[in-house]
Amino acid sequence: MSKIVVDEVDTIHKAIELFQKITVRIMDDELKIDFENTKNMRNHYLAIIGMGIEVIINRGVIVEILPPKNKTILNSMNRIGFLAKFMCQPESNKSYKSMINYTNIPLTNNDLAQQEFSVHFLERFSDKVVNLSPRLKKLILKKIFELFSNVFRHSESELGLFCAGQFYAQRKRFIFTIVDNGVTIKKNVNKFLTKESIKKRNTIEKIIGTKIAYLNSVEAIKWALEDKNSSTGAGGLGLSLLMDLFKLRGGNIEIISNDGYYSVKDGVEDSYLLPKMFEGTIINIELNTNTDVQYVLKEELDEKNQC
Amino acid sequence: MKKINVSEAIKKSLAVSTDDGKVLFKLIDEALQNKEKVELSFEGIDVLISHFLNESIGSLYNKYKNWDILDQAIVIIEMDPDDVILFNERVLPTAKIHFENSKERTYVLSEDLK
Repeated sequence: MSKIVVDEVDTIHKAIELFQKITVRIMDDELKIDFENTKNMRNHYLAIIGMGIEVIINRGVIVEILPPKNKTILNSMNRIGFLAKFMCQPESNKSYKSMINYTNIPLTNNDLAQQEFSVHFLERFSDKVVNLSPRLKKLILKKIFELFSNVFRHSESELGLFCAGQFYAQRKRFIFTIVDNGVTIKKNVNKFLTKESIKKRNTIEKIIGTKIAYLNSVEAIKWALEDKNSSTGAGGLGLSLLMDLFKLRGGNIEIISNDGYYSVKDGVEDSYLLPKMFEGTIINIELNTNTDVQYVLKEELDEKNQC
Repeated sequence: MKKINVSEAIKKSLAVSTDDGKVLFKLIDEALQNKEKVELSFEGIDVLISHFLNESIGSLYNKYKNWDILDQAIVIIEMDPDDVILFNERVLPTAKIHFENSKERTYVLSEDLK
């Protein structure tokens, strides 16, 4: 039996590194994942780690989890439902309002699971994110639900959607991670653009052929972020409203798909190609819940000024 | 005219899944095939996303040829104003662009819808 010792997972890159260490297990029959001396665990990244574990369980690998000895980390990994999922413990009846439970919703036969998760997420979001005007809050919520829905529409991954999150009261942050290991944004966008290019070719181009420009992973993510773009005629990722909020320091976002990395942190945009590919898509959203600042739609402010 | 309350039809207050969109599509399409106009009420819906509207209403534009009749066949009431904008300015125009040359548009709606 081989073993992976988890030291700390406090960044998205460390979560991916652990995912890749887990999923590279092709020949192992059994694997121990040792959290006993874990120093730091950002619970929302458990969505990525949990997906890695499910990938190898599907291959027939037997996974044993060694729980944390640190009581704070143990309690929080229990409260988010991660340990109960992988350690054959009975699920707790208690509901922790600061946690978005570790959740996996498969691609098919998922109506009840989707409904339960949607209600659960709505309750947590409504309770903890209180610095947005009611109208802005509703619009942001719609965008988030569209992200969930995108996994079922585009990922083509049987394992479906993984999500986990936490409200950090002291830091005043509501953070959650959505991840799938399906078709990446780059593949979906380039497939769509290729189809569109072929449709628009004129007669001469049809005879002699045309060169179709492929977007790299970063370009594909940026293309998908524009509201006007879509790979199924329904609005792409449609995140311009969220992006506006992030650029006003209302939060942060990180997107990783294939070897593309894109983020807006503290109002500053960044993007680059990663040295290693992640076969899937991760969206990590961090909302600033500090009530010293209230966010409203520009048109609400305009309406108020006119009165 | 057939009156459908969306929340009752999908048995939920969150219209966030494409599968539920398909359920609503079937109900609307059944009414249209019975030569009935449809009044769709969104009372009781707390969250509505574009994917749901694409599947339930947008997809009708991939079935029927005569869009001028289809445009008049569905009346939407009790919808959040922001969702009305979403539907009229994004969902419907995008569906029309997407399905304009679709080979699946083979059905014709009766002009005598009541």
